[in-house]
Amino acid sequence: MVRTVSITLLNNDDSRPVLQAIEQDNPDCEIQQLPSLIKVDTSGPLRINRGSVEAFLGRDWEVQELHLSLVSLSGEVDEDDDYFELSWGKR
Amino acid sequence: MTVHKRTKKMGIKERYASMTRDLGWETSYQPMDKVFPYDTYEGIKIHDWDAWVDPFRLTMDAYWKYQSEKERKLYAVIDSFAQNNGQLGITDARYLNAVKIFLTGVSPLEYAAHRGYAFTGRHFRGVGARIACQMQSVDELRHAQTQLHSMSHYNKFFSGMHSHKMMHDRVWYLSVPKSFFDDAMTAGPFEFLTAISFSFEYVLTNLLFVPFMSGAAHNGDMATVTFGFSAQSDEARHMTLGIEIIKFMLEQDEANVPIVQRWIDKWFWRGYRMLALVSMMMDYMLPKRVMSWKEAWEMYFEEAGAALFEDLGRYGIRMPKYHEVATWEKDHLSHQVWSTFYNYAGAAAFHTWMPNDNEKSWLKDKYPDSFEKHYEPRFDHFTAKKEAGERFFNGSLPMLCNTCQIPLIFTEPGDPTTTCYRESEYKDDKYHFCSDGCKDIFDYEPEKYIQSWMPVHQIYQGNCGGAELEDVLKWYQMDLGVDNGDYHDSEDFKMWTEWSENQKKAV
Amino acid sequence: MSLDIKVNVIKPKRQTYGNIAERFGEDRPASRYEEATLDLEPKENFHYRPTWDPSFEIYDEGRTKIKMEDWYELKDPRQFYYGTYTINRNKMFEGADSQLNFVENRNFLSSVDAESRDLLKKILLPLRHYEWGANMNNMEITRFGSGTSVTQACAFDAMDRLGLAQLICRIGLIFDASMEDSDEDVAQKSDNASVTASCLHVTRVEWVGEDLWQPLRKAVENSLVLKDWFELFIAQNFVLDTLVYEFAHNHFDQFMSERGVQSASMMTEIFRTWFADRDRWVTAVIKRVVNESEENKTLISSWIDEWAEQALPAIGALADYAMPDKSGEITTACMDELDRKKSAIGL
Repeated sequence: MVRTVSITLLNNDDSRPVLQAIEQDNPDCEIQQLPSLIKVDTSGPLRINRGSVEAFLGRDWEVQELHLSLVSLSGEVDEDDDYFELSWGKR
Repeated sequence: MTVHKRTKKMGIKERYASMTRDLGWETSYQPMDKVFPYDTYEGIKIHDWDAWVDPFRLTMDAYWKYQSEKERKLYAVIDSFAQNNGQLGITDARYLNAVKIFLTGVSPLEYAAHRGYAFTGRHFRGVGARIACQMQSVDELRHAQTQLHSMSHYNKFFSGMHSHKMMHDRVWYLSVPKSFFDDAMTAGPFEFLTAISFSFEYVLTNLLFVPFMSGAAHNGDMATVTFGFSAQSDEARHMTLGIEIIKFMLEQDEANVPIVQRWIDKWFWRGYRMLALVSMMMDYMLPKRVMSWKEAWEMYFEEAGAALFEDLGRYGIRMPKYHEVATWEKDHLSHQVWSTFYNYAGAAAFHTWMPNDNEKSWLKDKYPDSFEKHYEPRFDHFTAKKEAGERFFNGSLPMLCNTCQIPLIFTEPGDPTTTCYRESEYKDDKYHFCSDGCKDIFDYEPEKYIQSWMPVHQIYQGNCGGAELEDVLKWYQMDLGVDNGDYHDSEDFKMWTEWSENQKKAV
Repeated sequence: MSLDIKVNVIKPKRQTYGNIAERFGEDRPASRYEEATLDLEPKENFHYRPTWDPSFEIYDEGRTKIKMEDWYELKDPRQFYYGTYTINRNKMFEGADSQLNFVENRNFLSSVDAESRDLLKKILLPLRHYEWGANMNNMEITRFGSGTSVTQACAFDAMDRLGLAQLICRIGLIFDASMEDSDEDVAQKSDNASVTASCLHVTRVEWVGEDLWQPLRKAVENSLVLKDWFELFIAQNFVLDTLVYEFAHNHFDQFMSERGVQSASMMTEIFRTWFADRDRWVTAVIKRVVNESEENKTLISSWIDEWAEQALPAIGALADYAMPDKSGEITTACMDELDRKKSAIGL
């Protein structure tokens, strides 16, 4: 069985550049926009790159700023200075 | 901020390790077993606490930064909700009965979790696990407090919320969530995390929070939606703690596997039984429905749970025992529970009612195999009695399950016409159960469960304010004739009707 | 502009939750602190006894010898609940962060003479382990104390201590960075891991093994096994903290200033700010308990004396090492400060 990894963010202005970065760097992902939430699903690893978010945002961005808009996630977390990645079974 | 200060030499992982694990030391003036006296007696073998993986690496300054920003946003909404009479925006005052159950049944558990995680946050030998628990401990305090603050405004206008704390300690049906959490808090630290972090937060949480928050959003409850989303961002961290503790125990020693499996079996069933309250909320209490209990069970347990347990299969862990019973019950659970609370509306601190025609057709649509055949006739009977001015109230006291403390209202697996009774004998006394799941839990630890504070036994023993139902309800801190009874005879209903008419006139 | 819905004048049925109105003796609006604090801890009808310690209930007032008619009398003068607490601490630690950035970016430490720098590292950095012990003790009280007003404040204090421990780690990293900058060759010769954590690593070895730290470590470890949570409150938050902070963040700080190391004061300013803030709370709690009864007063007095006796050699050892010329004088000054606070709470 292929396990989907996913991340759910609040649908607000803080999440927009993150979402743009996700779309750019994870072309296979599926994005669901709801009034209050945005849910991103993908079968492979889901990666959020700091550099990409900063390019869309136009300022420095810490990966941990994700905590402000994070609602839910599914997958094992790998967090580093430059990226945040969700995947299954790497461990 | 500290840990994110990108230096030439150290990545976040090493920096975080030097700022957390490195703080602890092997004590020698006092033996480690005396400093950490509680983390071995459960039989879980840990050889290397350093193998603990921290999924999120929040140092305290980052924690304060993000949490304070969330709090500022949340309290701005709570303030504006109160300033703008936000209670007028809900779909129907019936909805608030779900909020009453939440405030008296769930918010106190958030508080209990705060103290429970303080225990593991002090008493695990591993520093990484301890810090994750400490952050969760203060997060849980946050949830208890933001819930009290959000609902404070509703409490000013509606019944049944004024004595949430005392009710949680005393009221018969609230002993279901209370005993659940007391059970976890009196277990050792590893079982506590298996119970709350894994079984509840990781496996079953979607069945509580998704229906609750979506229900609130669909029904115009901005206060709950806001604290719900804000709390949920903490839950993402808590869920990763849940999966980490399980994998950590399983990877540390093969001998841990059967212990963990037994805990998963126990806490799956314990959590599932408690969620019976949520099932009736979803199917009966929300004026605007989100999804049925059955749909939620299929989506969040049957699908997501299967994938999770398939993943855990590589450690030798299987699906929790009696999951197939829970799946069979999905067609019946909410109807049986709602029927019970309709019966006992005289002794509950929230109101009940019978579904109207629209709602009945929704129920028929969602439960084609069970509602019309088994439950509609009973509900039509209740409705007819009410219309004839003879609203049915059950005045007897029910027999409770000695484990989950729900009355024996569930039916035999596979047969919705026969009530399920189980019993065990222990030291010459007989104990009763609602299911095989609850009986198994008792049989494994009888010395624990014979201690249960059983509300009905306690009433008969004279420990609950007096011999008459009225004495007991007063002892529960209920405002008689206001907090309890049928919704359509309630002050809430009367007030809501007036408000709605005034609003119509104003338009 | 006016809002139309105001045609409904909606009169509330009640102003606050019942337990709070009962405490007030009237139904009037309560503060957020009161609604978030009063009576939150369950009081009765516990279902099972802890399997890890069946001699007590889940929450049990018998976990200390101190007796209080109402534990909710132990209010926090800062009125911290989670929201006000996090907002306050974010501000406090952001201030500290910019101080540290300033010291780091201007590389102030590289201009400090080697002897002073070594002394600063020697005295300041191992205190991260002391803070960590304080974190554990306050978490213990969070679980076993009675009444949310004191247990939540201890939870916040525990998190503060983790934050302070991490701040000391950060200072250690700044020392490392200043070494790299001042001696590029050394840095290039070593591989990543060994250079980066070096001074924190040394610190840990010293805390566990060096004579200088053993009396303090012994006192901390003895506190970690205390069973009476209010004795633990006295030992950690009153006796040990008063003495350690008076020594390290007052006398030693002055001493470094006199040697011209102002950057030390800049980096540790937060410890003084923080201590002043939380000391108001610690003092208020103890004062209230002392005022409750003669029995409480006697107990607290004897606990303070016992723990002062344990802590004395720890302060003596640190003073001997750091300021050998006036170590007796400094140790006495620290004990005097404890006595002053003791009489301020009515002992």
